[in-house]
Amino acid sequence: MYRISNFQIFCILMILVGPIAYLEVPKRLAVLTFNSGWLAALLTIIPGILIIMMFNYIIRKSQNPFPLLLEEYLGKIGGKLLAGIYVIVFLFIVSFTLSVFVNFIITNVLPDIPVSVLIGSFLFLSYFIIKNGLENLARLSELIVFIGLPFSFGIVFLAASQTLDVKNLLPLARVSINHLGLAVFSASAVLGRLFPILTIAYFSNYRPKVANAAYWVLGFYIILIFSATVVTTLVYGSVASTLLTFPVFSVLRLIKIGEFLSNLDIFFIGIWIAGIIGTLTFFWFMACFTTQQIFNLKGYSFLAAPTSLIIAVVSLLISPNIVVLNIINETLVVLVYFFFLIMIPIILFILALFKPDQPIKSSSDSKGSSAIM
Amino acid sequence: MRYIKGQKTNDSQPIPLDELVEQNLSSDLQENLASLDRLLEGCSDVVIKEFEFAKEPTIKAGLLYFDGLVQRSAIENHILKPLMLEIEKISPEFLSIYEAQDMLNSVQNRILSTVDLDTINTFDEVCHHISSGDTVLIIDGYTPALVADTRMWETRAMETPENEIVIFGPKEGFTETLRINTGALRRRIKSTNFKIEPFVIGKITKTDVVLCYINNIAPEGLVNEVRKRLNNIDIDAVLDTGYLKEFISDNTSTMFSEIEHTEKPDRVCGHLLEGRVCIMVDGSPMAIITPISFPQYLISSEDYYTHYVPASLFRILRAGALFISLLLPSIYVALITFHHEMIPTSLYLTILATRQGVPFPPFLEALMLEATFEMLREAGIRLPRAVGPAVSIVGALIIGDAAVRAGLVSTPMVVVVAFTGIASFVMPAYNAGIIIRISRFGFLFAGAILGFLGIMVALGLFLTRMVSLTSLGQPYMAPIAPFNRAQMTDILIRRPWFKSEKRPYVEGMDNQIRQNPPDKDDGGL
Repeated sequence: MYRISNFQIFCILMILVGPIAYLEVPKRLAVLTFNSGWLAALLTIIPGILIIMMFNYIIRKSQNPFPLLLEEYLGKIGGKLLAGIYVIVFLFIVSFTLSVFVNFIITNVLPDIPVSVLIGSFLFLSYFIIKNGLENLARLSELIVFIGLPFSFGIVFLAASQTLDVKNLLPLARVSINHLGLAVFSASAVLGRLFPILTIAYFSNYRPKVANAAYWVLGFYIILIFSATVVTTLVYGSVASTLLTFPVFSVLRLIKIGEFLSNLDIFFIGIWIAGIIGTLTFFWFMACFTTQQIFNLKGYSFLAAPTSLIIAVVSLLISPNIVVLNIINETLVVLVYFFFLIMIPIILFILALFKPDQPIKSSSDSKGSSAIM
Repeated sequence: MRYIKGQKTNDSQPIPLDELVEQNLSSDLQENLASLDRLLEGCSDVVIKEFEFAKEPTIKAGLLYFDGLVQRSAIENHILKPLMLEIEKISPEFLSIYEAQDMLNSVQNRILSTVDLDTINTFDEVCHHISSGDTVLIIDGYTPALVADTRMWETRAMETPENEIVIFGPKEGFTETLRINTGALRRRIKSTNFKIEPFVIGKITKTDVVLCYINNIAPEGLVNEVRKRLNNIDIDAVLDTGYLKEFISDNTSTMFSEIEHTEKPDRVCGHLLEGRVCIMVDGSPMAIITPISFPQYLISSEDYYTHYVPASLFRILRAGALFISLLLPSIYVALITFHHEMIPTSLYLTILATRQGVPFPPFLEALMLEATFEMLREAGIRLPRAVGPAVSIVGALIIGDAAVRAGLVSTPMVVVVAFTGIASFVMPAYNAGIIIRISRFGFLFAGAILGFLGIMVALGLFLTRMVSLTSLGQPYMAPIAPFNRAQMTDILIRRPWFKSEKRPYVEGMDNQIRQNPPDKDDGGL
């Protein structure tokens, strides 16, 4: 069985959390808390730690990776049924992410390119990655993080060198508890994307320290959303930030380097593509892997071809335009994420609390390991 | 079939040559020479000399070699002269009392004065040895035959390799003679742990191949795997190390080179000292080194001979040149075609002005210029040395200038393609440069179709392929992916020698210690 390092797990989780954090969370925080979004970003560390502790506890108490652990806690039939629902959820997440991204590109960058061409290109790339296996997905994640993370901070740094108004942060930390709570909840919901750790932790070459990778992700996540929220508030002020669809993207458009280079948004999107591709590839991998485990199939990579058709059709049908997508994003998607990526793990965590301790089974004994390559 | 099988074999029918070659030599000289006559029929360069030596009784013998491969003076002075003249100093009784095997021993150990002397039993061995420049002595009434190393042929002197020019460090390069090449390595690594294992590959060519490694540094598993792969090769001919490359590689369906070529002995030694193995073939000045990872292509051997600060800066420069070489034309085409808002207005207006009247879209323009550039480069390599540079200059200056004047291409595009061309020469490894050159066209297409998005998708495919490759089981993108912090100090940054306490890790390596850390109390001057 191929083992992935905890650094690779960090990179995979960072890709799952990072791009969405960067683009969407500052807007959500601005809408809910106006100029106190930075406070919500900082406070997210508390639920973040709790979420990671919860995942870590489930990992330590379970003998098998997700989705087999569902059978461990819910019985064979219940576990398989829920795993089947998860396959649909993962495919929905992939389709939705793809749809949002493609619409974003068509709206902002390449209006003349047909949607189908973009969807086809991205799906082809993701399909190629999945066919190459988890080992290569993990290695590719490292490359994406090496490029993407410094670039993301670089953007914030460059944005911070533009015209800023410190007064935009005033009054400092004046926000209702309800709104602050909602903002923290919203920012924390993104951390539900750490859910695949329940599968990949099992392939770690050093499982006892796998939670550290998640804590590092949390640290970077907090820094990212904090800095992005502060910068957008400083540049646009609280009201304008709530009106812009993607405040970070708008900040990016303001950046001028040496009064010569401007309109760097396409570079941003270019790098962001890498993150998005990583996200949708990994959730797609999760869908294929879960299907394989449900039906005890020999491999998962052959499932990439038929599921690609489902993803393509769903992502085309799901959105007539980006406005509808945003509505879906703010309503259905939050619920889906919260229920499947946080609530069900909470239930599993509660079940794990009452489960007697068992020695950790050798990873090579499990069904899940045999077909990972 | 049964009828054929049941046929009686005709005893007078000569044995087929492929069976004859496998047979052992007989003790009858004439019979042996007759068989060799048949095997070597049509080989006008073979010399078979029959002669007699000793007295009462005289002993008949035959000497075989290929003219042009041997040092005749060595045959005359160390084989014929001792046998025909100096043997008389030994008493006849002495010779006659010896039994068959002892007679051979006497000739081998007391009479012939060549250094490298061995015995062989089959016609196949006779043919192989004489083809390699050895001289075979067959003595009537005795087996096996004796073989003496008398190799000597015209060879090229060790010169500076044209493909790996360096400013600092050793300048000499390998030649086409295997022994000279192994000698060049042995001169640098004076250790008994430095092993040079021989192989003979090629059913027809019987080419000498050697596998070089340092015993206590190269992982045993790696050496065994390479040995196994070499032993499994069943090709009829090996004329260059390039033949072996595809047999040794993990992935045969990729254009990415998983094996490094070099003509420089110091570079080979550097790799051997880092636990890798080297394969050399007689007749080729190129050594191949494996396992190798792509980031190592950024390293030049002279990085280790210069101060680590400029060496590190040059590596960063090469990494930049790699990206320019790979992506610059596609980025330019994407900018001009899709994302012109990114270009500062004044610059864009300048570019637009130069493009006025150009009948082709930027993509076609770039494609034509790139293709022309590659043709010129190939022509420059293939043409005679006196003409090559002239053609390149004519191509680059005159054709380029004429194309711009004729309005077929724009000046910025010529600049972009020329700059890309220059950047592609910055890569120290020629075979890595080939991949970049070919891939550049793919990125050009992607950039022309989908702009930056296309480039990113193509880059994704490119990187996915790269991370999925292995070289003898070692990840091709190591130490970047999978990330290894310790080894990263010798990729973009050259670690100072005094801090290089460990060798770069090769899977399975036990002996990673390069030097003990310097004693901290030493420096109290």
